[in-house]
Parts: sequence; structure tokens; C-alpha cells
Amino acid sequence: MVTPLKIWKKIPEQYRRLGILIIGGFLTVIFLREQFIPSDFGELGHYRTSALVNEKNKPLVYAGREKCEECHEEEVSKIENSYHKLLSCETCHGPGLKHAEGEGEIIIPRKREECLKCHEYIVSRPTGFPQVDPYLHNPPKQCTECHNPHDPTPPHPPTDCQVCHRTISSMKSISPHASLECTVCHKTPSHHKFDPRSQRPTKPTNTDVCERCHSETAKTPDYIPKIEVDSHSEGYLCWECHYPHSPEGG
Amino acid sequence: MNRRNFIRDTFGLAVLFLSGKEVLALPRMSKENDRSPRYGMGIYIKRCVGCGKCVEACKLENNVPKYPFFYRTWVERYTIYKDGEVEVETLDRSTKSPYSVEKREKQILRSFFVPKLCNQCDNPPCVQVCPVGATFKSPEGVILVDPDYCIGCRYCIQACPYGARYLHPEKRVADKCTFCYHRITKGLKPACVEVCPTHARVFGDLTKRSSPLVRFMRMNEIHVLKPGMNTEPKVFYANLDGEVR
Repeated sequence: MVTPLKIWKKIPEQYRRLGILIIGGFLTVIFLREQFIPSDFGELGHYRTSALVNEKNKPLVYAGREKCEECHEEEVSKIENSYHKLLSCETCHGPGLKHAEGEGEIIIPRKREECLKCHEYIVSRPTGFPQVDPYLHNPPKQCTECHNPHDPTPPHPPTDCQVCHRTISSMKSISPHASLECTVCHKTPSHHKFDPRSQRPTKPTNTDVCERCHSETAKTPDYIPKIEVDSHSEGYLCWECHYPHSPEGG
Repeated sequence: MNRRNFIRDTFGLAVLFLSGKEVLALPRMSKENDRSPRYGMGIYIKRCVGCGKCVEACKLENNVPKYPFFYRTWVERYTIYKDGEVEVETLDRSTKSPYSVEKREKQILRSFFVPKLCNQCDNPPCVQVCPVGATFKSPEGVILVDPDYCIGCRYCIQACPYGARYLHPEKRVADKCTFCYHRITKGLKPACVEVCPTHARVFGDLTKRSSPLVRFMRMNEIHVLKPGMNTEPKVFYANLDGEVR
């Protein structure tokens, strides 16, 4: 009969002691691992599964546009046919989950600064995005006096040159030349509106029109930049370097 | 036991042990290959108007400290001057009108906004360096931080090539964009995507052809940030300028 005890006795003593040490060490490592590594560590990967659950259970703050649509049908149908159709309600009204659950008020922004967050003229903004210079665009008024934020199309339809020359006129409206009428530089035949191709407006052919305000001898206010006409880039016309419609003034 | 047998047995045991480990590891692998979504984000540079609504929404949704310098997502403004100098500023709405029509001394060649956030790399350097396994890739491919397990050693903050992580000043642990994990797992959009007024941010599942993100990637010239770092980002930029770092 071979019992485990007899086998154990057969092993030389120095090996037995070494064996006990090794097994003891092994058990200590296992015990410490059990103590220090969370039970759910490594179930899905090298992390605690409960961390994933905690992250999932964090409270929401923003409700999402679909939630708003459940109650505010009227506003939604209005905004859907306007230039603001891409906007989420919470873009302007702030986080609204608490409001949707029946408690807490929603923000109704009325200040000019709120609209200017997106619509103030900044050189880095994409070309064609509607922007205004807050100092030139009806300064004392609130935006909401003329534009309904749920349908912001301007209440006054474009008139005169703006009707066809929209891009240039909106660019000019934020340039230093905003206050000048188009006809200051362009002489427009009265029939241009009816027959635009054959009755063309004029473009300046010489620099007299610029010099009226920008020459050193002109009697215009000081904030208008002035140059010495004869020595300033001789041989070039003003608009070869300065684009008069541009907000940067060339 | 002679020497030959001893070597043979030891070797055999080692092979058995290692192969056993492999066999045990296999079911875990297949679990990860489950058909779970892989989330990503697309950004139209040309649509960003730099309004900062995304930054604001992110801070409210995720309890990010209100002070500047702590961002999960932020908007950078690039200005390239005629003399070739490139200026990069980070938008901060807490200071008044950072972008007002300022008169610059030098002439601007071009300028644009670049929204930035964690790139949710498929090969994330931050996860590799974490000494305790507190930052990890979720089954959906989102890189998350376990705030109860993080020891705040800042190693991951150093390792991120995009500067997307910060040390939370109150919790003293690393914090970063989670793609609003608590929202996307409920079928909602991340807060920044929800509030973007021009839809400059597109969110979706990379594995579904019908997702807006896949459409975005089909229709645009796509670039990622720092492709040379081999991090395989899942935030894709359309019309990215060569100057953007």
C-alpha cells in the first residue's frame, strides 16, 4: 500500500522543506490576489465590469430634441420649416431633462449676446454663415424684436441691389463701407432692374471715387484712413489690393 | 528520477500549463468579437462656427469643472497669417467675447475653427500605460476611466498625444471624454452632438452602413489627427487643413 505519507517520507528532507516554502509562497500569492483584485476585474477585459455599469448609470442632463417634441408640437413644426431647423431645442434653451420630467424651468434667452454667440462676425467663421457686426446692426434693439428665433428669416425682405446681389451686400453690411449706398461707386442705369445684362451698372474706372474720402486732402472724419495719393503704390489701382466690399477692408 | 525524465516532465507540464491558459482565454476573445457597435465621431471643419455650445453642454452633462483648462471637448481657432505664422487659440466662453472683431496687426491668410476631443483611439496609448487597469476600452470601443480604481498617477495624461485628458481637480483622478457613454448606451446622442447648431459633429456606429457617420465618411475627404502616431483614432475630420496639429 502506497500512501501519500509514505511518498512524502521518501522525499529527501531538504526537498520537503523547499516544497513547503514554495507551496506556502504560492498560497500567499493566491490569497493576496483574492484580497486586492476586485471580484469583477477581468470579466470583460483588463478592467472592472462595475466601472462600465457605473458609467452607464450616470445621470442625464440633456433630454434630446425628441423629448421636447412630445409636448411642444407647435414650436417644433414652426422651427422645422425655418433656417433654424438643424438646431436642437437645448442649443438655446439649455439642458432640459429636469424640465421634461416636470420640475425645473427652462432658459428663454432674450439677450443680444445669446444670438451673437453664433451670429457675431468673426473672421474664422465659414463663408456664407449669416453674421452681423453687433456695432452696425441695429445696436440698441433686441434681436427678437425683428427675428423670431423659431423662424429667423428677416421680416424685411431684401430690397434694391440686395435682391440679386445678396452675397456682396451681406459682405458689405459688415465692412467699413456698410453705410455707403451701392450707387456711390456704381452708376446704375434705371433700366438695369428690367434688363440686367444689357444695362449694366458701371464700375469705377479711375481712383477718384476712392480719393474723395481717402486722400490726404479730403475733408472727411479722422477715423477714415487716409493716404498720400501720389506716392501710395504708384501705378496700381486701389481695388487691385483693397477689396472694397470685404469686412477686412482689403 | 534521472535528469532526462526530469527535463521531459518539466517541459511537458509547462506546455500543458500554457496551452490550458490559451484554452481558457478563448471564450473571452469571442465575447469581445460580439456584434457590439463601434462608435465614432465625424467633424465637418467647414461647418463649425465656433459658438462653444458643445463645450458648454459637455461641461454641464458631465460635471466637468467650470474653470478654464479643464475640458473634455474644446474648440481651437487656427489663424494662418500672410507671413506663414500659425496661431492657435483655445476658445473660452467664460471670458467675454473672445473672438470679437479685433483688429490684428498682421494680415490673415485664412482662419477656421477645429473642435477637438478624445479621439477614442483603437490603439490607445493611454490604456497601454495605465499601471492599474483603471483606463480601458469598452466593448463599444470607447475609452473610459474607472474613477474608483484610478490612482491619479497622471501617466495616461502624459501619454495622450492629443492632450485629451486632465486631472480632475476635486476627485484627483484622470478624466476624459466618454462619448457621453451614459447617453449613447441609451440611444441618445452625446451632448456636444445634440447641441451643435450647424451639425458640425456627426455621431454614429462605424459598423452600420446606415449610420450617419458612415455616410459622412463616404461623402467627404477624411483625415485623422496625427496619423503617424499609429493610434488609429475614431474621430474623423472632413476638410482638415494641413496646419492642424
